[in-house]
Amino acid sequence: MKRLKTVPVLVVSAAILLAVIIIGVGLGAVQIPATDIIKSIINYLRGFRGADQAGPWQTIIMQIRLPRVILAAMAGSALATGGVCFQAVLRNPLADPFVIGVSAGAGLGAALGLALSEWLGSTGIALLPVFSFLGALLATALVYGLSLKNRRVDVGRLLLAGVAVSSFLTALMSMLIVWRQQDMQKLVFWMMGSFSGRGWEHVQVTLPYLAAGLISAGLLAGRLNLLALGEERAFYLGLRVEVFKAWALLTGSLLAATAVSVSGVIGFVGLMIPHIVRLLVGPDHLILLPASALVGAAFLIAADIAARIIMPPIEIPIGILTALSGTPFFLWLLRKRGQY
Amino acid sequence: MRRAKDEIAVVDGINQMTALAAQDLEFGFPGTGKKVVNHISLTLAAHEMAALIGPNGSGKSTLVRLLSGYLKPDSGVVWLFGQNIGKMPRKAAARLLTVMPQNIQFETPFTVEEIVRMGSFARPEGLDCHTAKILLQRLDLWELRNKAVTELSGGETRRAALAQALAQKPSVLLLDEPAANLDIRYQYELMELIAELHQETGLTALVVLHDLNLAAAYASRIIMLDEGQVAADGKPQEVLTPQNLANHFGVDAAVTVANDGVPRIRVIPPKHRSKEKNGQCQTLIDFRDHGG
Repeated sequence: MKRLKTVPVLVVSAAILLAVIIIGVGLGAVQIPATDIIKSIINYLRGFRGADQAGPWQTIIMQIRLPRVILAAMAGSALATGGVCFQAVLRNPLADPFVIGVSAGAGLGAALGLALSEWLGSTGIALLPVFSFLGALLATALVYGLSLKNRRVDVGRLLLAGVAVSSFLTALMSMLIVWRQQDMQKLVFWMMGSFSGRGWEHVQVTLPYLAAGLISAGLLAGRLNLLALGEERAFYLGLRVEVFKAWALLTGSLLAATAVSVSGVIGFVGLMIPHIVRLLVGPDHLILLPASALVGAAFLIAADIAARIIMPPIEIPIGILTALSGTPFFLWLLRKRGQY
Repeated sequence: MRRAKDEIAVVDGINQMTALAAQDLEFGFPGTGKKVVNHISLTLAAHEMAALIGPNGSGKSTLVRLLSGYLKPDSGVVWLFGQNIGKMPRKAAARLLTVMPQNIQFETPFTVEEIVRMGSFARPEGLDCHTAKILLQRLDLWELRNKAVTELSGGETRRAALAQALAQKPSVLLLDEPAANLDIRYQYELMELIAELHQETGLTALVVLHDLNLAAAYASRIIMLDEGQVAADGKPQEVLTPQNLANHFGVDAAVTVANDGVPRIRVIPPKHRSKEKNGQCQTLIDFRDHGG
């Protein structure tokens, strides 16, 4: 397939992201026209508050819909770029944080954080990403260690280790849910992935981790190209392989954990988005990473819109939607494996 | 040469004309208890082109990985222009020495040009467009520069990998069976190219080869390994003797040295031996069973 040019792809994906943000803010129980949304946000930024000064929709837009849409964008970009990191190091397009059990680890960590929040008090929500990160690291280390065969990551082992680790950690999470009956609904919803009831405080808590993850991935981009050639080649080209492999796995875990701590476990985004973007722009991580971040953000906002409007007034957990679309994609990719 | 002044310390009598020196290398894969490389010492002079030969399992690839620093020896040291390669910063070592590994199969569809540009990773100055163009043209890759490396033929893939290695501008290049699994024409074309590049750039090259006639045709020195040790080392006509071939490869071969001084090997297939060497057949088969 002919590759598309870098700049147009970035511009078009940014434009799509912007459009999806406006649609996401506009759709819901009350429909808000796009012009009103833009006006309202501009007014807000100029310091106008309240319905009389800034239009009737400002509260809905600024307090309810916009933070939710932004969180979906943050989670989407984190999952997609996290997927890119794992795929480069493990040299496998199937290495999605969800498939290889990293999301389950992050989920268990975060669930533990949620369950402990009554002892941790108000710091609970701020510590959620940290718990999530530790869980993700644990899962990454386990799966990586289990899938090595003759110093190489074996595809079959990787997927099997992912299934095993994922089931084990999810079982632990279910146990936690049974134990903490009072938090059951919150935890179950969160296990399935959802953006409902999220606000600016979640954006605020998550933003530093996302920024750290994205910057780290950006710094790694050129080296991910070398790692994608295989560890031995990368070594001969002058890369300190062990250092950068660990750095890339840490970055992937951090990004996956960031997404999970804000939205719960959402699968397959890190698998679908990088793959589609790779088909469009080629494998160079200097363009693959930013494009995946933009497309991943747009995709997850779109999925969240669908989650809200398919069965109103019921909101479908978004993780169900990404699994419904992602599993067939995964199976298709598994069948045509070898044409990476 | 700037490098000679700045970076070369004279170590243990290894003078500055030595590009690469292995000092009593020993290596065994963990848990096997068997030494794959058993007390190997050898030196490669700067600008030398040597071939490394030996039967399967004699330790050729392992020796290449040890010499490049990719594998750490159990004991012994590899000196690269007088510096211990195991202690050199990775990028500094990659500016002096690189490897074209065995069985290159690109799995990620980078373009040929992207692959070649990655070669300059260890070079702070990068690879300017002019040099990149010359390199691509020299290796007959210019027309293919925008093609995905996953779609190249076997010969093109080797040339792309070679171009990447050359973009590192190394002083020492180790090639692990660069011609393996190629049609005979491409084998000779690739070896011809490597020999020309060696002539043009003064590269120090060590080439692992399976085809002994290729080794004899292109290398001025042949190092023969057997069971992890250097079995013979010298000029092609000194190393490729019927006796060495019988002792270390287990083949019965006729060697003729042509006017150009290049030995040519003709292996006598086992089923013809009884006709050609009546009476010795039994001992030959015996030998092959124990020594093969």
